[in-house]
Amino acid sequence: MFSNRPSRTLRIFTYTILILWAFFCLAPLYWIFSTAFKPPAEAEAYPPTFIPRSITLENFVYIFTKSRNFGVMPFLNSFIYASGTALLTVGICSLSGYALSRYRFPGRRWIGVAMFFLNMLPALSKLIALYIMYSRLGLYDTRIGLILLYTAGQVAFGTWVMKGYFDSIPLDLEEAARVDGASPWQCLLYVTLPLSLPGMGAVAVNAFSSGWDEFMLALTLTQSKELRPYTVALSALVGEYGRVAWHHVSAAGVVSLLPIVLLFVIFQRAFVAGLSAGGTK
Amino acid sequence: MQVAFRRSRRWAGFTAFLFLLPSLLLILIFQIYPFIKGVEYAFRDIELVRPTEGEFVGLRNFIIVLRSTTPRFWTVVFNSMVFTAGSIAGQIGLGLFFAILLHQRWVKGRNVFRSIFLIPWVIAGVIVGYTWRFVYDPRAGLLNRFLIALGIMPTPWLISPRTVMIAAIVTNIWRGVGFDLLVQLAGLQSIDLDLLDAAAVDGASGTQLIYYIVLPLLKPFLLISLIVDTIATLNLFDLIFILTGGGPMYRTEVMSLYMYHLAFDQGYLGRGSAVSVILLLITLGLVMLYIFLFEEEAARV
Repeated sequence: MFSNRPSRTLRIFTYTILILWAFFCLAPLYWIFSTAFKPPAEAEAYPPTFIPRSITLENFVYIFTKSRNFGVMPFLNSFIYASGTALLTVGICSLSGYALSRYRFPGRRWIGVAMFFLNMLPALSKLIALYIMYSRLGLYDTRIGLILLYTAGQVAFGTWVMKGYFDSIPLDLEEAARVDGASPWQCLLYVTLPLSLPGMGAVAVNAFSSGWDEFMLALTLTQSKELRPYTVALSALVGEYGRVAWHHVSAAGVVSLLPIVLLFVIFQRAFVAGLSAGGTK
Repeated sequence: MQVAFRRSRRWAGFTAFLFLLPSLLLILIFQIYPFIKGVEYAFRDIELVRPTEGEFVGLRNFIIVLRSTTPRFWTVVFNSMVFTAGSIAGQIGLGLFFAILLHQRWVKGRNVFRSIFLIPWVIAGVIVGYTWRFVYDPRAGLLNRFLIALGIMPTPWLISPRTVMIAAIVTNIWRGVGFDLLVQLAGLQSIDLDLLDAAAVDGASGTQLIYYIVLPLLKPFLLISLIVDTIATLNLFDLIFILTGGGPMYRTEVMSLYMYHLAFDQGYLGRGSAVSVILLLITLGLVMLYIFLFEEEAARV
């Protein structure tokens, strides 16, 4: 049934359904994109227009320069959290993935499985304890506190992907380096890691997008305006004048989607490679 | 060990341990410790205004939570169940349906459709929440604008207690279908097409093929979808926090939101922990039930 062309009516039916669902997937996004570029007067008029009559960047200028509760900081903070998480995750997971791929020691299998299941425990059930722990350790309302937490959430996936990638690299190269007197550390750094860039890319992209999108932990574990990522700061934009200025929220939403879109366009191959190597998520 | 570092077994183990140490430390401090502490706090009287180690109070937090009236605890559990069942049924049903359509070899532009169907799944939960709040907005929203164009009465979707749960479920389905589509597509790709062709030659109809061959072979993949979706939906926070915040009149107050409100708005960290322990038990119970039912089924065949 998957190979043969069915009757004409069934084909028309299939295409109709697929096109309708594609439309359903894209319509809400079209709505925020079109509104983001509408002039405020048009955006607030009733009933709203399907297609903008004129296009302006006014809303973007507003959220970045004029808004007292938003500005550039929320996006900058998100970028710091996301890239910090990506860098730290790649570094740490390269090490642990290498250990699991190249060494045989008691409990080796057990560690990978334990990591995987611990990661299935929802962050929600740790939220209150994290709040208390962060208040006591002085990690509450700090950048490093969030980055460490996000990284911890990526370790299982990252280790798994890196191990999978290292497994696919032949040992001969390292053995040759060993014969020439290289230490395990040098083997990893100069021989294996340079060959593992696609795996590292996949881990980095995944870590970056998770840090960029995170909301609950940032909402609970930060307080000051200067530290809040865009996901938390958006609520200030919503409440600014009592009723929701959707053209401002839409503009911020569009900006927030840009890095993710860029990452997927640039790193698509690395991303797919990593997913098939890791086989999870 | 058939590996590069053959010299000393003990030395190799030590090196491996060093390489693993950062990962293990992070997991221990930021995952295992807060998880255990979270369970412990459910049995302590601990509040936001004085986050010292409260005294041990046994099951008191649980009893207070179970007896609470605004909102009633069982209303919250019921909301969670409705939201989860509705979301998962839609996500897996539609994910499987579109996976079957996109696995047809004669369909043109399969990759384009698949990419489009995956877009909602890639977007941050917060942005999904705001986008759909905008779509449902009585005045400025796309949905009512669309209904007006069709000559249908507009509805305040998120304000009316009668429509808000449906609206939240639709949003979550919109967001989640992509994941199940991917899982079921992977499942379909693992099925040998020659087998289906042979059955078709023997005269089996399309629906018979799906019911008697495809679905049984997809069972492991459906189980994965079911488990992952259940954990994710019961513990969903960002999307529904932004979309409805639990309102109106607690109609969409699910357990995750209830826990957050109890702990961080009202300041009862101990009672909030009790809710999260109950939520965890429900989640684990459901996952074990699925596995049991799937194994039961497998044993019977």
